[in-house]
Amino acid sequence: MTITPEQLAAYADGELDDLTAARVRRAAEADPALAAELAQLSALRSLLAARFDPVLVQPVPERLTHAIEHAIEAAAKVVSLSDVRAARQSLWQRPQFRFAAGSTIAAALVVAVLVGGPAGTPSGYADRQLAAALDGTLSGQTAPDGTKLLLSFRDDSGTACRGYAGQSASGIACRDDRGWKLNVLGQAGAPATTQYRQAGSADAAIMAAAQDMAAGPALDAAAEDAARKAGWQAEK
Amino acid sequence: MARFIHDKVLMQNDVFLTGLTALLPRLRRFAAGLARHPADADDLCQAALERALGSRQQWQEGTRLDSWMYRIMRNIWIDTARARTRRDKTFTDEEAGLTVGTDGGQEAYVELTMVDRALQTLPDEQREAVLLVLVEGYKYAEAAAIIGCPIGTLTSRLLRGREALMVKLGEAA
Repeated sequence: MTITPEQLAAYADGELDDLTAARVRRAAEADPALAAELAQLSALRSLLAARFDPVLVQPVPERLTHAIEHAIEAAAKVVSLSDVRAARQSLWQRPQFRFAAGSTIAAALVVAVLVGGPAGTPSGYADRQLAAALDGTLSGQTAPDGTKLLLSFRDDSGTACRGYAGQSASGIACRDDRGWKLNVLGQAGAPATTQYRQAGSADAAIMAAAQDMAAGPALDAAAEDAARKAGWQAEK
Repeated sequence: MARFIHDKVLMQNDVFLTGLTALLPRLRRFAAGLARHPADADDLCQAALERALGSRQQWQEGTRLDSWMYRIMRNIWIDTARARTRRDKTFTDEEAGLTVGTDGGQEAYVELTMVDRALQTLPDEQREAVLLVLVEGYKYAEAAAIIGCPIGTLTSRLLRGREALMVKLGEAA
């Protein structure tokens, strides 16, 4: 039984069925020339592996990882509460966080007790600049004053609420007849200069608080746009 | 309802993007084998990534991301190889004596290994067959699907490419 070059190569590549493979194996055991050819095939594989496999453990250049990171950032612009819920759970599942997480989030938040703003803003309400950001900027975008809007949702009463992270403070504001009431206040958001970053602990705290307040999932882009056009009116 | 669909899209993005990140080392290896010169490998890789990110909606979750990415990279390589062949015919002779030592020169002159030189003597179709099966470890059927040719065509290209390489590397040894 002669073994063709195709069969020998296919044997070396592990492409033969068991029966044919056994036949090639027996033939190679009986024929030193065939065995030598087989050794050459295997040597070629080794040479190629020695040249190219080291690439697998080289550090990946930043320009390649950046391309993907930018895409991740763009995808994360629309915030989803279910993602946050999942992230929060996985954080809590880590032993070192199991006991600490609750208190960390609590420490990052204080109930809003505010003195009145300078421009006649009612006490406990967003000042004019923040109100403009809350009124006009969609989630995932950054207002001209550097405030980043994290998400929008409705609470049990149908009131529109928005999570934001500004340079001096982050929080959740809910819209009522008098303006944007600051229901939750957190720490300052991460500096706006950081181009790519993980959601900061302040953001995470805001998201966690939003999860507790929200009646349902975060508003998607279309629902949010509709809410904005309606002046963030409560929905009965 | 729309909200749940939205969540699903986000999750798909996540599978796609984390999948791409995990593939990067392998994509760089494939690019290193395809590129005419080691210095071109990451350019090829970046071009493939950008095309993949731009057409991610064409990838269906549940299908293999690696084959999809390899096919994209391979197609870009084939396209640029054609353009390059035309250009090289015109400029290679003049450029050969001029570029050494000009700016960026050191980086561009990464030393070619014996294996690189042997691979360069192969026609493109043999080279990609050799790389996909012998370096990337694809089964014949998978490699043929990535290239878009029948399995018989793949195996005969592989056989010829492999024989040519063994002769070249045998000479060098």
